[in-house]
Amino acid sequence: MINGLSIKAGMLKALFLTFFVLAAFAMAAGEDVPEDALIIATDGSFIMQGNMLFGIGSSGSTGTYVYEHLLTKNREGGYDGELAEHWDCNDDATQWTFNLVDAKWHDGQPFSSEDVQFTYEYIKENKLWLSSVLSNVDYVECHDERTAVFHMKSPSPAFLDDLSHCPGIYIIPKHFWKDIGDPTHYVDEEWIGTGPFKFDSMIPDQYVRLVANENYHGKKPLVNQVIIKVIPNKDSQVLSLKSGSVDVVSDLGPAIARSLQGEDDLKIFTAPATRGYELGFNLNNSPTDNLDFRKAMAHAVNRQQICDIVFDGYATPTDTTFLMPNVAYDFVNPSVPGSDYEYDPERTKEMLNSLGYTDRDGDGYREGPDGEDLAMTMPISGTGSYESRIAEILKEDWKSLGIKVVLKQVDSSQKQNEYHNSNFFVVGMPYLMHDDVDDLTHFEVDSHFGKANWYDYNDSDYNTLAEELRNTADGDERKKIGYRMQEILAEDVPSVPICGADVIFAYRSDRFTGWEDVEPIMWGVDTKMLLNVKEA
Amino acid sequence: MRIGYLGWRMAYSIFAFLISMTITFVLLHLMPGDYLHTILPYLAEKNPQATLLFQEQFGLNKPLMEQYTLYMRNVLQGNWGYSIHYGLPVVSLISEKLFWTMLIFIPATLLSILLGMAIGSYSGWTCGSNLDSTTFKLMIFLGAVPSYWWALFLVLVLGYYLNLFPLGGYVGIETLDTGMNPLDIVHHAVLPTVALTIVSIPGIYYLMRNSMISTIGEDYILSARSKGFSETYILRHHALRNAMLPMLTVLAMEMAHMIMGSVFIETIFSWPGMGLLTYDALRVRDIPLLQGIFLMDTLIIIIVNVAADFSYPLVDPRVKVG
Repeated sequence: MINGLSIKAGMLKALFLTFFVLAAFAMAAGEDVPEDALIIATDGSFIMQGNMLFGIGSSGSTGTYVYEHLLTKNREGGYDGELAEHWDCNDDATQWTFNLVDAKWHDGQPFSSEDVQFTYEYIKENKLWLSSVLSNVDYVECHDERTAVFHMKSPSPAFLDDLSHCPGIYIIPKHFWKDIGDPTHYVDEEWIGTGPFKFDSMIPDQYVRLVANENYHGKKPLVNQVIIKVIPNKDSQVLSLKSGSVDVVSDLGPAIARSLQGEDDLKIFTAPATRGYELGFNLNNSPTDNLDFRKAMAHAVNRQQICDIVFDGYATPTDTTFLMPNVAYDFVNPSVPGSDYEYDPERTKEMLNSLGYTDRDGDGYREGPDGEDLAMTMPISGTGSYESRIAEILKEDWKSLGIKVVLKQVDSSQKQNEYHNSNFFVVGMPYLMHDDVDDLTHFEVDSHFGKANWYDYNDSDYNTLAEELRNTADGDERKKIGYRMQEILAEDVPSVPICGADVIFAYRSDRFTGWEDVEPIMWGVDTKMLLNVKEA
Repeated sequence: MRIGYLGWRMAYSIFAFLISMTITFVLLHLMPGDYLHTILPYLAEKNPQATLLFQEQFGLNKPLMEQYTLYMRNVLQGNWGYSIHYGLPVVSLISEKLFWTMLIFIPATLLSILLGMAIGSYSGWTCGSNLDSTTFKLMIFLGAVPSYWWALFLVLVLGYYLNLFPLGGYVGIETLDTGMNPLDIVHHAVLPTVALTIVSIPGIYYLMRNSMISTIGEDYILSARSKGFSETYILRHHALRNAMLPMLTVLAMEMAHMIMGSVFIETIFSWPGMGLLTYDALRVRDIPLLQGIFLMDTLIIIIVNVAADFSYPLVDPRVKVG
């Protein structure tokens, strides 16, 4: 007879022992969150490649609280000064002059124009990839301690964009960096900047504590300390928010946002139209190389349905050619595209029929005028991204029009290459790519550096205007050129804008307030937003 | 054990490592995409000069053969390069993350071996009984549920609702003031350890159960019974010991596999181990770091296999190695 009782007893002992060990550790888990500390959830590295010269981390913001650009883009279509208080350029935009603020580095050393000059020269001498942003700068001159002048190799009216974002140039202290010979392999542990918050301490991969910079040259922070907490998983970030161990979570999905509505002490707010989505056509591949076909398909995009289904209402349909009206303002030509891109499936059907794209074999899908099946593709990466979900909706929607599209799964890093082998593609870009007339050069052939644009679009008039735009500094003149470019786009239809999607934030209203008053320029809590937050 | 066999085994391991280095290099360089296109796709797309400068900065503009020669030489000299994303030496980065993975992996492995073998052997010993059937179904359920589900379940129930454990991370926020507290780290490690244990138990259970079922039909078990030994004695001293032999190789592989961490569990618990590091490195196409991670994995697999080979005689004196 098996001595089962004895074995069972042993197993039970082991289980009890395990439970006991676990229970022993199960002390009260609630964290003692410092009352005056604002805790921001972030999803990844704080700083890329070890130091600020390689840009801020995937979290998108930590470095910006500590370091500053000369200026930064704002949502009103202009720029806010950070280390520069005034700026101006000569008539042909070959010389940009920046009057600098009276500021101090976090270690108490004074900030001066030499730091600006040093930042440019250091990046360039060390051949860091960031220097590509400044490739049109010839040299930087210090007129005096408070004036730095950038001399350009050729007219650069869009130079402020280069300096201010995506990724922009953060100014570094000369006295600290001049002795560091190999920035590529240098891990900065001091983070000396000029920003409103100073680096205090960190627990690797877990927390960074920043404290208010009492000597900040601009608007003083209203919170004493900010703790950045790394939580890679969005669901875990939301649980932390609900449990009170973080104060704000950004870039939430619409479904999560809806689920948080009505929760005690939690509030949701949005930064409207922060990502712009568009349907692109490739003009080299049949049948999207046919202008009339593209015009027909421009009426087949149900923007409202996409906003409702994919973004659960957290998006606004876009009715322009490329620029987004709520961020590009009067750069948007109000007379185009008119009703050219209006959703009208019946019109699409009529136009396709008249072009000879009809269903001859009765299989439910249209064939081309030559009688051959239309083999059209649209690349997607994964299934969960907004782009992929929009593509799914278009595919399903277009079935009723007799249009068959195959969604082709590709690696995200290869998606942009795949645009050239496809007919359609859906792409989402930050609103900063849709907010300035200069962004229209996106459709220029071979753009600045000899590379084909995504659409393989090549219109000689458009290219001439793009070149003209690059060499025009006068604002009104640039606007006129932009209007003409938008007219050409509306006529040639290389892409159809879909919508501007909101970025959703959730925060604990019992701890801090002031979040909604300033809209961020990206999808995280940025410095301008943070400076407005105060204890509840 | 012959010295000759040991030498042959070492030479074979070094050869396997060299081959693996080459395969790793080739595969990673065949992989589409690069770091800059992942991190700043619009800059890289709009300004190809950024890509050229980036390639020059990290030596990626050199001919592939030259890169390969440099890579082989550097690795063999102990220089595994610098991570592009973290800016740190690959070896120190991996060592640091390996520490955190081991912190949850060692107790999880020990617990899962202990529980898996205990339950598996008893289930096999009582094969066909109601208890065996119930346990078997329970293990199918445990194994079928994905690891991220267990992780979320534990966080939600034990962390969020019952507030018994932290929701994630490896230390509490007070560490910024007080410094690291080992008990705090252990407290944070409990849930990821339990999650890892739960997902590892079924594999060990199946193997042990099958091994035990094969063993109980052996003649020496019958002989032991005829001698009048108690069932517990036979199970412990005859059946269990023999049934454990095939477990060794599998356990060695399981250990090597677990050392690489679990992406899901580490992500959900914000545990900064090898799984999260590997995921991050893949996501941003950090080639030097990926090379280092795969080489470390290869090294560990080679070492645990050799260790498993040499430990057979300890479990079964009849086995002679070499």
